[in-house]
Amino acid sequence: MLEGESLQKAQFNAIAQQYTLHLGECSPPMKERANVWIVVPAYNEAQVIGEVLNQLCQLPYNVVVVDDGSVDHTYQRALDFPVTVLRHVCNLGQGAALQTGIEYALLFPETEFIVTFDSDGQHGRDSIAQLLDSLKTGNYDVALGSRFLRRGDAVNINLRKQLTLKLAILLTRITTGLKLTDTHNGLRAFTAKAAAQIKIKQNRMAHASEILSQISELKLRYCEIPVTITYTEYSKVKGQKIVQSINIIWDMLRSHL
Amino acid sequence: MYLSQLILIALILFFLIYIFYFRDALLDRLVYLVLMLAGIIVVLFPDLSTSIANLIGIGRGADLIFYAFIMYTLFNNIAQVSQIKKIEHQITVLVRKRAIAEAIEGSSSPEKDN
Repeated sequence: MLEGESLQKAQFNAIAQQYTLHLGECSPPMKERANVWIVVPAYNEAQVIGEVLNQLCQLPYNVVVVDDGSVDHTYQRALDFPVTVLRHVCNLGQGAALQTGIEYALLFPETEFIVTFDSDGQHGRDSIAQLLDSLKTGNYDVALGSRFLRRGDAVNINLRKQLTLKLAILLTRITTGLKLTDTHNGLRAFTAKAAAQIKIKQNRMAHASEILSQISELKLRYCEIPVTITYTEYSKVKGQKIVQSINIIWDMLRSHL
Repeated sequence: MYLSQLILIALILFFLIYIFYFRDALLDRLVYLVLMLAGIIVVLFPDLSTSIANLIGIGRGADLIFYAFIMYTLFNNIAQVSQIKKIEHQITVLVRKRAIAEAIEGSSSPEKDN
């Protein structure tokens, strides 16, 4: 290794270690119902996050919101609720936000299950219990939500979105060998053990494919659970555009460099 | 097929294998140095490029230099993308550590300002 580079690495490690020391000293806050964490990544969702958190806080689980460097009042809105709010100082992407939330949840030794839940209001809170039930049987390490398993679960989906998603499903089947019916669903549940094994390195939207390929590589036991996705006007505007799938493919290729 | 075509295809294939399997910052810099030196030599002896070009079946020395330039640009581009990726990862780790540390500090201190 070159001198300049090892110096850079040493400095970086020193800074990183300071933070780690901090983590070791303080004891994180505890709740009685501490074994399930719901990770909610949010970027500029001030309009809807209140309603989503209002729903989630009625469930007997811990919630951690990861504000991914929002420029609106997402952070302030989230602080109004009895949830943990983590804030990225700059925008990194949904993949990075999920990994931050998961790492936070795993700091607590009581954590048994970790659920990922989108902050734009397209998921229903009732689905969480169904995902967790399948993990609690002990037969699976990961439970993945699917909007195409049951007829009528993709409410108000348009044809273009549907075609793009089907193409993604086909590509995933070819590249990972996983026979899934929905590959880009933000609602998933992991056992703590599985969540610790999965390392999301794709900061942006390619994380959905990355999680699946790691499930395949790590030979984790997975199942699909039907969940309802409601496409509101808000989520249509805020959600991923179809042309953005090119970004995903680019990120996936770039990860090999 | 001309010798030059074989060489160019071989170079491109070599690059692909190099990029995915044994890329190394030191080797990268070695490649840059060799290219710089080659540039100086070609400037000093302008006829040299034409004779080398003719040797491998390319008509003009200028064409040879043009091909070399494309290969260099490709190589340089990939080296940079890879460097940016590394920096991005470092930023991610820092931002993540900071986010988690802040949350833990905030909840353990009694004067929490909402």
